[in-house]
Amino acid sequence: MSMDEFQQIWKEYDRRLERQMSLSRRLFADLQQQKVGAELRPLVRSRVVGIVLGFVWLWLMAICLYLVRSQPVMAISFAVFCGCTVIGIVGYIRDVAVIRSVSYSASVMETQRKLVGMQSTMLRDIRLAWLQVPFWASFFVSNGMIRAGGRLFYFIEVPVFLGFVGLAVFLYFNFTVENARRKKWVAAMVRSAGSKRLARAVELLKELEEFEREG
Amino acid sequence: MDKAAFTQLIQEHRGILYKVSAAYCRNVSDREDLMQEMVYQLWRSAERYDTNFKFSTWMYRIALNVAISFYRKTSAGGVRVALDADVQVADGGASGGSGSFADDPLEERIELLQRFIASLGELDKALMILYLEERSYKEIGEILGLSETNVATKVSRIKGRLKQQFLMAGGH
Repeated sequence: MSMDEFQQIWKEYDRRLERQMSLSRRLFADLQQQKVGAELRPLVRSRVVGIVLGFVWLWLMAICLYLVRSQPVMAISFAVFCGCTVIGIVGYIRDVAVIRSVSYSASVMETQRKLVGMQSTMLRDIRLAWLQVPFWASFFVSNGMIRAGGRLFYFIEVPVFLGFVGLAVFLYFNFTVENARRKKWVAAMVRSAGSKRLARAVELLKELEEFEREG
Repeated sequence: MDKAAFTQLIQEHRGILYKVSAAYCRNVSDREDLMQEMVYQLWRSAERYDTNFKFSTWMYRIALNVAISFYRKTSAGGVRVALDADVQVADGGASGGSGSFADDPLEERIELLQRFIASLGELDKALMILYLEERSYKEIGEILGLSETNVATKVSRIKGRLKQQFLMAGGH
């Protein structure tokens, strides 16, 4: 069968679709009244909500940092929370700028790369969350606890903290887009985190790379 | 460009929206949602329409970009359809897998072609649609953002697979 024949089949298919589908004038009227939603709007909305909540959280953490400034372990923990929140907020602000720059009229490769990159920023958020984990086991350690803790403190609190540091560093370096494609356990964690969209974004990223490389 | 003229242009090229939405969405309600989203994005981008491009090239870019993003977020998105899976055929309703073709050989071929397209990855699907639409390699490259050579190589690979698929289905 020649390709011309396939193109003829396609033309017949086109004629059938023309009979079957319709593009109503009503749709254009609805558009003028903005009744139809834009695909990227929820993405912007979620980032804006994130930025607002981020500032509220940052304000709370900054107050805590100020209150515990004379307690080194507590102060370091709250400083880490503040730092990670600032990084998160900056990331979200950058996301909004990227979303606003997405143009569907650019080439498919260019637009899809931007959109997929956008969706995989969730990995960045997860990595930031991992980095903070050890400090959730240390933010309550006051100078008094260190002085009065004795052996029990050093045999429980310190190993738990160090264990979390090791785990956080391990997860931080393993939770990358690359590993979400290559390592099954990372992919499984991404899926179990409820992010099917992220999993699909990772798949498309792979397809984009292969598509560009081949030939 | 004024909105009335723009609406008219979209109406004239509506076949692009039909074909892209049918290729990326298996169920009818998803197709309608996708068409709405494509028209909305065309509408939004109207002021940025670059007259150096053919209207259809520009429309394909938007329709395919929206379809690929939409495909990823719908429940069936990201899942390729197996070559022997059911596919909703234009005018023909749902049909069975191989072996349950209608008596009409043309119907059979349309169904097989649809099934083949449904089995492709998101980007290969775009490439196949553009090829079947008889777009030049240069124009396909402009729409997808690939070089002409790259387009030629990929088209040749997919054509090979398509021919093989038709041969396996009955030697047509």
